Amino acid sequence: MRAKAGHLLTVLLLPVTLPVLWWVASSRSSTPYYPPLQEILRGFRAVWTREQLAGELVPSLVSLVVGFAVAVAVGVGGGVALGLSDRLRRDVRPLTEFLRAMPVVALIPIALVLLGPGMRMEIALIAFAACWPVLVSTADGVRAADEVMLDTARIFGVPPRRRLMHVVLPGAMPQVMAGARIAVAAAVGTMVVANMVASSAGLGYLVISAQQSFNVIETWAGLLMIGIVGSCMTSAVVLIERFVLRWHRRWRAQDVDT
Amino acid sequence: MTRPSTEPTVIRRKEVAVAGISESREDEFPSTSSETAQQPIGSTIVLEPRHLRVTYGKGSHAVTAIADITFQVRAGEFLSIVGPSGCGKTTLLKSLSGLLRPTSGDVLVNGTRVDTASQGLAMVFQEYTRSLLPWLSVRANVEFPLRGSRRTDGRKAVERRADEALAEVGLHGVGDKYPWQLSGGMQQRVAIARALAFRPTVLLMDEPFASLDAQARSDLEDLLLKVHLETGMTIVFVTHDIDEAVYLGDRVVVLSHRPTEVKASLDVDLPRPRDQIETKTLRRFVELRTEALGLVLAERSTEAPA
Ligand SMILES: Nc1ncnc2c1ncn2[C@@H]1O[C@H](COP(=O)(O)OP(=O)(O)OP(=O)(O)O)[C@@H](O)[C@H]1O
Ligand SMILES: [Mg+2]
Repeated sequence: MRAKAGHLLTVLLLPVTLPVLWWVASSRSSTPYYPPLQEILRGFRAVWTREQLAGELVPSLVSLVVGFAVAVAVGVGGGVALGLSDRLRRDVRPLTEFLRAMPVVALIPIALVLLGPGMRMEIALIAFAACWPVLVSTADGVRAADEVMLDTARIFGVPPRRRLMHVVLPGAMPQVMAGARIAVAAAVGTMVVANMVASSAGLGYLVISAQQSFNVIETWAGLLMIGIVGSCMTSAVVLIERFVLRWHRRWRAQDVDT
Repeated sequence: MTRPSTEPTVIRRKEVAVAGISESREDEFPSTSSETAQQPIGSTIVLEPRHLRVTYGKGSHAVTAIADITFQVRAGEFLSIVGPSGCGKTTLLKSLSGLLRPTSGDVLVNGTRVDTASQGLAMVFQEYTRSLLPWLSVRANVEFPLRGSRRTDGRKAVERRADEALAEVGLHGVGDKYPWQLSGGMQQRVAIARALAFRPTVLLMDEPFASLDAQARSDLEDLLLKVHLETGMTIVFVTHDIDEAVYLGDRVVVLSHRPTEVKASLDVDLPRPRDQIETKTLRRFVELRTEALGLVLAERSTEAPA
């Protein structure tokens, strides 16, 4: 019980103390570039009216969620294929390494040419940036499938499809989820950048246009919202992970015990 | 993944009443009355490796694990296999099960050549932690091979078979736990229950009790004897423990060192049911044990340097 309370304290330490520090340190600030937190929060409420939420936040969220979903689908699908076939993995490795090394920002101009500005392009960029971590770790997880489990299933005559769905994939799930968590950060970052340079709506667009019109409060308010979106997205993925891997944490925990 | 037409699973169930198990299946040998009767071994040959040869690798790296193995397993027989470590016991079981294609020779199950896994055999591995699926409950693990396969006959039937199998191995009421919440001995019971629920033609076991403590081990040996007596299942049991091989088996096949051949086959003419203390103090037990031990030790000392 005490240990739990202590844990709670450390967890809350940063999220509580940092804003407090910010609040105190900025409270008497008079420079317009560095407004008191109090004002930012007031501005936050003023900026994020219902129309703004609908006009700027929702499009961003839609791109983010759709792009991320596409990334996970492509990443898991591709990762399974690469994980199952050594030959395929060897053959496409130069290509995947090349694409993976490509900074997504560098793709924006060509994405604009190919898809035009707007949500389609954003989704494509987000999916591109976020699929690699999922793909790579899924492939690793599939490759590491336990031979004894697979042999057991083979002997019992479990057909290949069912072996994939019920032995290989659940076994790879810890890696898939680890990849997905990394992918969240990539997706949010890409969304903001794509908004900033190539959109006329969205969170990144709001921040950059506020900055260009010297509206510092609104810039901060947009930034805060980006942080909130990012952490909500991460929390959502962590919650899904907890559910999908509910066996895994306790399994690991008892491994450590023995 | 097609199963050939050799569907009839040759399970001879003696109608020994087991607590919690409803005995209601069509049996080949209906009730051979007494509980103490010697297990009847049929004359049908259910499993037969013929001139089996397995070579790993190619060219100068080639290792011939198995040179030439031929033997026959009859329905209802409990066959123990012993041999020096590294002689290819696991390789042999993998070939028998169809997991591994032999370099030459073949394996007959009920007279039909095995060319894939899934010939209606079951295997219990030494590594129970890696053989049971950690994300499934005990019950779901036992049901897993029965679901979505041709052998399935409806959800209800699957559940009943899982229940029966769990009761048979003394795991009543742990179905909802995860396997890793159980002790090693209990996990291996789950693996045995899974194999029983599958009702295999032959149950293959690869040093199944080798990583258990002495207590759990003798418990499981007796459990296996009970299961064998009650179901009349054909069992091929690989072990490096000669006492265990003699104590359990109707026959002990002794393998040579690599490249491996069958060195001897000893008939174990000890009465059943067997008992950890009584059987092991019988003079005949000691003789058989000594003979088998001598054969295995001789193999070890003549082993070619690696
Ligand atoms: N996949 C493989 N590739 C190459 N050589 C192998 C492979 N599997 C086994 N071997 C070799 O074949 C021989 C027999 O191995 P196997 O595991 O069947 O022996 P075993 O009798 O089961 O050993 P143990 O007593 O350790 O269980 C060993 O020399 C081993 O090194
Ligand atoms: Mg072995």
